[in-house]
Amino acid sequence: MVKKILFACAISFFSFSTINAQSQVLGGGEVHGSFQADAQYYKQDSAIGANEIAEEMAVNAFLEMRYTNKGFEAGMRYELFMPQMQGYDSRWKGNGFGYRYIRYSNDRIDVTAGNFYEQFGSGMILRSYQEWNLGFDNSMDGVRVKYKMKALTIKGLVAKQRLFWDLGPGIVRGIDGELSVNDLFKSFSDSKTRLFFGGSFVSRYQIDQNPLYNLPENVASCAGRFQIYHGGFNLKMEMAKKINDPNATNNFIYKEGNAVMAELGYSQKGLGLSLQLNRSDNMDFRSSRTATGFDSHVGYIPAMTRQHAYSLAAMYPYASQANGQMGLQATIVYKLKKRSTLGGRYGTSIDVNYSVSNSIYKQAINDTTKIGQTGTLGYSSDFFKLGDEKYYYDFNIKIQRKLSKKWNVSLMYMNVYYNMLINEGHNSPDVYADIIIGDVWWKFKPYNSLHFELQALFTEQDDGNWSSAMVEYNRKGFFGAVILLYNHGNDLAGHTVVDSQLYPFLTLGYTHKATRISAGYGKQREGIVCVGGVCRAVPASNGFSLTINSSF
Amino acid sequence: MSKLKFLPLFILMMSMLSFTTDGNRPLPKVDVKTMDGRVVSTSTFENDGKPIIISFWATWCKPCIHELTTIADVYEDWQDETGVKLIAISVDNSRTSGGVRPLVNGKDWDYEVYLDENKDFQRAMGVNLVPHTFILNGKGEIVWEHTAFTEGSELEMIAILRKLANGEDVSGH
Amino acid sequence: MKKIVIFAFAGLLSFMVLSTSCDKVDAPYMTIGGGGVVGDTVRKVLLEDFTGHLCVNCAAAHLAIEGLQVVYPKRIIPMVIHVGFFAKPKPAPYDYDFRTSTGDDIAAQFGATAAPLPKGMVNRIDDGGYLLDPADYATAVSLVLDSMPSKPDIFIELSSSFNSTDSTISVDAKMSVFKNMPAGKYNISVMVVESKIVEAQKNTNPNINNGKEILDYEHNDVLRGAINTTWGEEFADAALTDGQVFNKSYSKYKIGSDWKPDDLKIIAFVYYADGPNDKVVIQAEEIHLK
Repeated sequence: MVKKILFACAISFFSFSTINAQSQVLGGGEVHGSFQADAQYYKQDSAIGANEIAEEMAVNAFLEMRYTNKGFEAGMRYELFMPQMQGYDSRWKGNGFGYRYIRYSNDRIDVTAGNFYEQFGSGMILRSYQEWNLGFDNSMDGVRVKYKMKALTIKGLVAKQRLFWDLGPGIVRGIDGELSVNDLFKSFSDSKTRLFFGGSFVSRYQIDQNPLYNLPENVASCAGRFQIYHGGFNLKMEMAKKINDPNATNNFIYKEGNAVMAELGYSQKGLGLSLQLNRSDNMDFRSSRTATGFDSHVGYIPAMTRQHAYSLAAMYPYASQANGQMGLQATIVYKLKKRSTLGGRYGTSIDVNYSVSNSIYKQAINDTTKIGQTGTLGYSSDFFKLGDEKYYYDFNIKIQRKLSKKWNVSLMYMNVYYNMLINEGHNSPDVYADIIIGDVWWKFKPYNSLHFELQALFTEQDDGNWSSAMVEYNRKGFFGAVILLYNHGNDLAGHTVVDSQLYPFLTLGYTHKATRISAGYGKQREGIVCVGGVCRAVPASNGFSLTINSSF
Repeated sequence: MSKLKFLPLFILMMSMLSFTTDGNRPLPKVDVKTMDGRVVSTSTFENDGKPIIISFWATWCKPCIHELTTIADVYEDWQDETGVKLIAISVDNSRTSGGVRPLVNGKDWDYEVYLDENKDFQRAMGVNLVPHTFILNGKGEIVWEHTAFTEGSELEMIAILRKLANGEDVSGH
Repeated sequence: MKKIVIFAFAGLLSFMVLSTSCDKVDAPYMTIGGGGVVGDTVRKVLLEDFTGHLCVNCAAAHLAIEGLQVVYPKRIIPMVIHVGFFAKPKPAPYDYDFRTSTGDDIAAQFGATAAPLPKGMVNRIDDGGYLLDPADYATAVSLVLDSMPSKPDIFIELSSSFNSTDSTISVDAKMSVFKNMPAGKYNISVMVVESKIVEAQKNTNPNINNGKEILDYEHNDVLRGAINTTWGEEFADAALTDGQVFNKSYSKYKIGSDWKPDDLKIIAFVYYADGPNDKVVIQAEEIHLK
């Protein structure tokens, strides 16, 4: 209670000083922050499967402020879900200060108490982060200390994790060190080759009150990494390991977990190549062993696939399988030179990307134990052997060319395979789809432009074919767009016949400096929204929506 | 009655519009990484007393790429005219950050690029959406910012850079 | 100097690794049967499981309950309630309607109507929310059966009979108070559940039927109806004293036309109907109808 009052006082103090003083000076310090509100009015529409909600309108909003004064910093975020918008976890419903911290830092030391976000290495064994637009927040609540030396940075933390409006049951302890070899030895400091080493250790404590299993209360994991850069080449590798961690996601097996990620790249002006490999085995690491879904993740095993921006290309996104996947991704970006035969006057850029993800090979540990049987070592796995189930692949090529000062065109083709059971958790036929996209910008006057986008998706599975057309008009800060999304209906074998369906959507908006307001009206299909590697299912909706976004 | 539901939000919206900053603020001090792995503090960002553009972007963000590509076409002219330097901050996380280097080189962008994998700098700058672009004056103070990119935003940017280069006041923008 | 720093770092790191005990567990990993106390007058727990035949992870929850029943023989009274979106009848083979108005009322009261399933409750205890994930059932059951005295606060004895001529059930319940209880309202709920109903169940759990749906799934302990209404009947509104006995009788409860009397069970439980422990179940019991 006292805490709440203090926060309320502090926030009103902050906001008053901001609004009245305008210059935002407070005892020599400064106040800055950001704000976002999304509101949607829901209408029932049985044709697209949009449900009515009792409250009629849902609002998600936050206001975040931070005060900085020399080395001192304090910040907080007020969050509101009244109720949460459709597609967000119902446990968000409510309002309050979900995030607050104080921090002191100088050139050497950096101490944070309260909520913080942190990532060790690429995040395989520890990453806390927030994606507001997905309703994802696993911020740490505890103490973090960073100590920086010339060649070495050490971080240590002890915290619990945020779980909606509560804290999860587990305690997370971690330490991470990163060493820059070039800064360590004088003779290397000017070397063309740059070398980094890093290592981290994370342990989770959770009491065992389970009568069925003899559970480890402390689960440790560690990771080692290195990076080499030489000229246009770079090589990056990280390996992680976790001791026995029976949990709800692995059916309470006692096998150890491990994961590897490697990336090899070469680039020079006008050319970029990269190859990434990844394998993870029983590596779902959370601060609560009974958590499932998006709850209480400590480690982050990313999906090594491209994150598409076009709506139909993003229709079937891969969901990373931390408990077992093996995959690779290759990317080539090439720019045909300006004023060349093929490149045209302004040059042409070509981007080719391929990614694939497979199951890992699993073998029973003995004749009497089934693979994955609870309360056993589960299975054994040959590191270099592929499993026989394909989870996902995506081949895509994009060509972008500026034709003249006024015209800009890009074309894209994509071929995707999507394993329904793995990615969405139900036994429906796997999807094979081809997607074609054309995107044209026409800048007909300074500050005035039209943007046309045509997309088509062809598949014989799931909901069948889709197409979409968009026209967008931009004039200075103003924009307006009409989007027509059309499902061609389906009479596919083994499917209930679905009538074709049109989803019209109109959106208007205005941007002024760092404030953006947009309003939309129309129908939206159910789908999966992904940001930064996390995906959320969004139900179909029909109605009016409003978004305000500002930072100051 | 239901028409009035959005009224409070509209009022809030209007008040947000007037919520603009007058004072020039310095850059927050946060660690980011260079594309070759070095940890660099944002306090070391400088351009010899010339203006700096800081642009937050991501490989998966269409308008961001559009903005950076648009500027790339005129970047040399801008540099000659105002001495400006563009610092592109990628907020790609470890899923997509491997694609930053190939993309930047593949697109032949001549920018100073940093990685902000866990969005520490993004949060410190109060950035909710990408693209979000800041202009810093010669003293390293933020004098202008803009979220989203639409065709023509680059013309507004160069207008401000010209004023900065001539030592004019830009607070009217 | 630099080397010292590196050594210090290495030392610190290894200290962390060594001092934070990593609990490496060796086999056997599981308790095999016979845990806890067995006897006649023991504390028993009500385990309600919200489920649906379209829910792909629900068969795994049923398996978790069976596992617990092995560890605590005769001390777990399961009641499986089909609710919400996942329980809706669909084209065959998912055309059977397991839903009941009693089940819907219970789900609405405890927030399970729109919750992602499977979810469950143990004795309707509110520990930061009523609903539990199946992985939490075991711990919640243990907190009642192992951490509380094995002697129940109130003991229930049931006897029942079935009249096949008019298909009606009669139940007698005797509640014996074993401990002084605070003043307040006490209710008894009497329900009917049915086992061995063979109908289709969706499933993707790879450990069950190779991750495929099960067309001849055996649905057990499925809630069929409430004999004395969803929230039962108040049998006391006072402080209870050790040694007190209450009796309740119910008769002429007509069973559904497709219910099989041989597979029916009567479940009874007493609970606090007001006060700080409102809704919390004190003791549960079950008896086969025949």
